Amino acid sequence: MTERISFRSAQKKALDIARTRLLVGGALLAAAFLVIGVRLVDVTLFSENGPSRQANARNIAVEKKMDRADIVDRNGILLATGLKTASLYGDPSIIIDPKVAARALVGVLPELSEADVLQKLSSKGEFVWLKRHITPRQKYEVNRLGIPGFEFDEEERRVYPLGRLAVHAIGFTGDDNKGLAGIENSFNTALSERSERVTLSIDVRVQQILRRELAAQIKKFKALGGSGVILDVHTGEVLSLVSLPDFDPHTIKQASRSEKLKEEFKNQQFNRTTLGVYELGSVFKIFNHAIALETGVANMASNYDARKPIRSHGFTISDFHAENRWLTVPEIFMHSSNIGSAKMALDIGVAAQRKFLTDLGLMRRSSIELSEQQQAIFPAPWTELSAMTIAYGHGIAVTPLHAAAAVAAVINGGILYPTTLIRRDELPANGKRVISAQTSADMRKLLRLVVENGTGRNAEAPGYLVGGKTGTAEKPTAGGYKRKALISSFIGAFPMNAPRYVVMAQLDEPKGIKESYGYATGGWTAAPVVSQVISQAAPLLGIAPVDETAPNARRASAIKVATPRARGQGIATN
Amino acid sequence: MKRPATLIIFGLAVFAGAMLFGVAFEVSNLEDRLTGLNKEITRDRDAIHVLRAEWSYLNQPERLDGLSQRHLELRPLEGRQFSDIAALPMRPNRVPTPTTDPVSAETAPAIAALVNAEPGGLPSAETPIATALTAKPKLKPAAPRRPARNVRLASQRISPEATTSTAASDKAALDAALRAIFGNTASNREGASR
Repeated sequence: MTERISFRSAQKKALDIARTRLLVGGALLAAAFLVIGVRLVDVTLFSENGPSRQANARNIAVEKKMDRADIVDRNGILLATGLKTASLYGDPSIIIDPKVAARALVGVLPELSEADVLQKLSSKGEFVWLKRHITPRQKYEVNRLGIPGFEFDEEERRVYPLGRLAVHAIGFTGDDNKGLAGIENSFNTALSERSERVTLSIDVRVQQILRRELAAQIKKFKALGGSGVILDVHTGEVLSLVSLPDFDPHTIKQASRSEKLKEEFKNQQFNRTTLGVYELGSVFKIFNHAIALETGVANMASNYDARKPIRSHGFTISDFHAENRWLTVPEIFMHSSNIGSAKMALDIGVAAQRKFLTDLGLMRRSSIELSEQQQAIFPAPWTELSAMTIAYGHGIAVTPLHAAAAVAAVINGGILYPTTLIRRDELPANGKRVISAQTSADMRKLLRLVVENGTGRNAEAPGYLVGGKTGTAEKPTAGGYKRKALISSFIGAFPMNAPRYVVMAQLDEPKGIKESYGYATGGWTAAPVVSQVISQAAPLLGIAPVDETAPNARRASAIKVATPRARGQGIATN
Repeated sequence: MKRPATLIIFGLAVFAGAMLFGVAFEVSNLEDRLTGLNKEITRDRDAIHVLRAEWSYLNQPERLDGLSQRHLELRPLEGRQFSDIAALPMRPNRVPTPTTDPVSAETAPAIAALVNAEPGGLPSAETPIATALTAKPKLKPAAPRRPARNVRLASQRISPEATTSTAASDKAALDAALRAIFGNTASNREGASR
């Protein structure tokens, strides 16, 4: 019995232990199942954003950003974009027989040199670029060779669908897709790191018109080159920026092939509109007259003696279109009299001239978003003689863009807006008043007068009330000026009763032709470009023509030009 | 008693297992489809991207210039091809009584020119354009400015109607005038079919 009891008790003890262990195990399992159950309920019933979050995570993979964002024009037309292309590289450690591989590859890609490929494939290492950016067809051909060790890497290549049309504004990128010039350079971070699309203020339709007309005129007058710019006078936006000769941004690599090509490319790449500084000649009379009217040293009825050339400090200032008589202020402008302008500048004085030219933004860097920029070259010291020559645009050199922006300020009511290549969606608030509204109104009339009756008649575009000023400057050389090498320009604006756009055209060393009676001046070479551009671009820009004989339009140029009854001295006999 | 319960539970387990497999397969299928669709979207996006670049390339203004010169007879717009409603001559009063008519045939062109000169100056309500048009023949000798070509066409077409049936409703005339002004292409087509 005792044995049985003891057995029983021992068995009971063991059973108790087993039961406790089972209970603990069961409790643990129950707890685990409870956790799983709670989580299951939570996931299936309460957690609403769970599945969608996962789906979104999957779709993000689809929304893969491009390496570099697009550049578009003001109407959304694609100017620069990235296209995926395959690039071929070799892995020399896998290549079995470099000689055979090199020969086979050159058979497919004949533009590669066999020796070069062989040298690359025989090198140590695991990666050598063989050819960047190959076509899908070439990729297929290489694959068909079936040689292990040739691999492809997908790369993005920058493409400019409009080619050379606006190349100086857009710029270009290098092999590694890094901006090297133009907007590509100045907006490199935004384009590549933030992937923000850049919308330019350029309008490709207007750009094409300006480029085509300028190119035609350069060809006609056998000029070395030319530049042109169209500015919105109320916003400072650049609608068109042309510099000729230009280049195709896709072929810049070929420029390094020979010294001659390199030199040519350097010339083509040079942005004459923002980087070139030129003495603009009589175009500066716009500023001279504006300063004289603004400071009050002259008014529209003032007279100046333009009978004899001025001799000063060994220089002689004479007139190209000599009238040899007393001239009123409007006449000085209309006939582009250097003598009259120089005398006005003497009345203005050095300090006031300098102050106003600075106010007009001519002396500092332009705000345009390009790194290809040049500041004005001006005389130091600024003497009275300099003041006289600056009055008619010699002795000071500025970029065409600077001049156009300053003219915009002179005619738009007197407010200078920073120039920009980026589209503005609202009117800028950061304009700076440089001259009074009254002076601006007088200047508009003077500019219209030049086109109606003066040196700028070739710039007329019927219905658009063009106003403007011609400029012809001799090119400076070491120690003087070349008489036959001219910079001929015209800055125009339209419509003069309420100006909207400034159009500037400039030709570098045009040669006189029969049709222009041998002249190569701004009025003969650059003014017709402006005329053509305005008559073709104005309808696109939504500017309706007006009847020039209507009183409202007449008022745009209503001016008293009358020959002065000069103070007793009488008028020169002509 | 115990056996049926076991059977039911076993049955349920098999059913749950089958369901689970079914769902798992469905999920896997859907995932495959999603991947496929994503791939397709990526491919289409790339294709759109390439096509956009190509579209821009084919629309190079210089190229279009050449094409239009070769195949079309279109030329750039000129200033004189524009006209506005204010440029249309005004009509004398509906019942022309020359002595009391404030807008006589002689003064109308001058007034029209004035109206044209003022921006936004439209013909007044008493002289709708259409009726002004029907009276056009009277004004013929002194057109205030070179009329746009389509306006001249319109007057030629409308005037016979106006003379034959003086009761022609203003609405029909207005329609015709508007068609003449805005429906340039429509009038051309009519001309061609004639």
